[in-house]
Amino acid sequence: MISFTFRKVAVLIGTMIGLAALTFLITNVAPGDPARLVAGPDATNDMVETIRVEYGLDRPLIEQFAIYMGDLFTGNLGRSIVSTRPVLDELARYVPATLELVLVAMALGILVGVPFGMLSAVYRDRWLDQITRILSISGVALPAFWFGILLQLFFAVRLEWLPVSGQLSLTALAPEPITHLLLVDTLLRGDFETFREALSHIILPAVVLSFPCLASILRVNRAEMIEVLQSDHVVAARAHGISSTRIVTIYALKNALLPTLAIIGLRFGWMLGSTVLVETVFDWPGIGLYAVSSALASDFKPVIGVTLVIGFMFMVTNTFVDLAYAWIDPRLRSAQ
Amino acid sequence: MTALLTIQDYRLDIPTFDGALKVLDGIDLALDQGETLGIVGESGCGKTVLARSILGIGPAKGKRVSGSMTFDSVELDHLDEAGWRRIRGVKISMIFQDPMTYLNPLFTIGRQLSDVVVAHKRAKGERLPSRAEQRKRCHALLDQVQIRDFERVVDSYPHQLSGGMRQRVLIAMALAGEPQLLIADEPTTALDVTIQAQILDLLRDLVDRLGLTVVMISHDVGAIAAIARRVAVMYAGVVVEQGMTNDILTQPRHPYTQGLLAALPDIEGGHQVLESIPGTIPNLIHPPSGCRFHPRCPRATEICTAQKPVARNIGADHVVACHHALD
Repeated sequence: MISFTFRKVAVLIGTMIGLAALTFLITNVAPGDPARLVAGPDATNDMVETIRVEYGLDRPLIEQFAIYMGDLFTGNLGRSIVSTRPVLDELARYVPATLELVLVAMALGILVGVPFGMLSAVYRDRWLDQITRILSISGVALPAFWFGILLQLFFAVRLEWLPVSGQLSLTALAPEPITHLLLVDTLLRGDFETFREALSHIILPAVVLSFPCLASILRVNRAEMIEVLQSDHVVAARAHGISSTRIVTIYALKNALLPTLAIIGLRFGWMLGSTVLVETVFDWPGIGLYAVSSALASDFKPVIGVTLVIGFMFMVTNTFVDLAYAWIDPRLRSAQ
Repeated sequence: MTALLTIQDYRLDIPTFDGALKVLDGIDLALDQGETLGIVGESGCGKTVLARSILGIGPAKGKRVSGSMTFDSVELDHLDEAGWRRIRGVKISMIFQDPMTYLNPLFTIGRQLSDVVVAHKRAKGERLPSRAEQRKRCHALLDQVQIRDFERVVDSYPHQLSGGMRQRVLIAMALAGEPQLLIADEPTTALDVTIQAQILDLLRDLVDRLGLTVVMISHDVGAIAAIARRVAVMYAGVVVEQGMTNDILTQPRHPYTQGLLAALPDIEGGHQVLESIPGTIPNLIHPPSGCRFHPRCPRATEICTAQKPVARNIGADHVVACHHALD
């Protein structure tokens, strides 16, 4: 297990370097002269050349690459043209908000998807199964922006149970950051008032973001459970007198979790990429909004920064998924 | 003395889109305490369905049409989940065909075995054993099936053991509740020939030593002969002949039994063409009228297509269901 972990981490590092190289390649292969882009449409040739030298764009490609990678390692992601602030600082502001949203959505997806997938399989073709199946199909089918607005209208405008948008109301004060995750920080600081505030704000966007993810976790887990429950070792466990509850919740569930984990890893990456719609609808100060506004302004450095961060988080998640796989399935451990 | 297990006129259908599969068609079997009964027949003749029905783990959609199963004066057909818990593993237990797929791949042998031990204690309403007691019991159980390197096996996962070892573990699990009746469903089929012999030896030894009542299912007549004193031959959901193993093997009366035995290779027979029964097992949605074997039977006459033969006694403990058994 230890050597397995080491190898997975090595692969993770390699993939990250690969991703960094790829972003470098894309910016250099992409049509257009970055120096002219930075200088703006009205710049003279002299100005463009000055900028070219200033940004090191006149040096050989391999040298530029070395500088680029060196910068990445020291956390220097360049500056945004629009705000002129370092990209790293801006990311530090936006990434936690998105990460928090995605994590809460993921937790919802797992906590609802796995048990209901399990129950759906046990009560196959009964009313509970029919209801969860309708839910899971609509989860995949409903567009996020429409579903989000629907929930806002109902729960925020009509019932006034939850706030319409934002991460905190205007009167609330965010605590001094520790982890930069609002829910965690408020708890750590013992500021339960703000915690409740933050929680009520995150519910609607998290539900909207998690719905497709929840639906696919549920479907996969249901299908796997149905298959596992028919397998020989479940028949044997029943014959040996193990109770149905124990068979379903321990013996079968552990087997069914393997494919479900794969979906969880994939869906995590998908959520990181698709928060932008939810963030727009709920005015959530996250990385999706930042990426879109930067891309629209042809602000390259932030776009690359966002790409790297999302790629990084996706790869880390999938490394965790791989490790969880090996932790659950002894055959994977000893095959190494 | 009443029989330990009585199966009377047991009929089971499995509904499908094309109609009901008539899998078991009026099974009559009785088994006394301490008896060993073999059930032989081709794949698909209903042996496994019958065996699993005894434990209430038959096909999920299977529907009993008629008949009953009684074990130790308990009507098995009317048991609920709690009732089954007092039977499964504790009074009736089962060992299976393929020891790889019948063990859960994600749990250690020790964990699976001690879970069974705990489940039995709970079923019997006894005090639940501590971890140390569980381990001790596992040790004793694995010792009973002649697994000597307990320390290694108990912490192994199924894939780390050989087929023979896994089957020993499954046998240990089946014996954990000290059952009165052991059902062995093709216990040697998935094993290598040399391992088959070892497992058969072990089973025979356990049967003798523990005085187990056994139902052993196999398509391997040799394996049956090694364990069972009595044998029932099944064809297409019907018991066509039953009696003492010796009688059936030397003087088979039913044409199907005769064909089945003639199809066995003879180690002393030298070079000869192996016989086979013409045709294939029938479609069980629309089974043949009368005797289900008549389309393949060399002795079939008109009456065989019209009337289902009634099982009749043709000697001391020798029952045949054939119109022409004594021809």
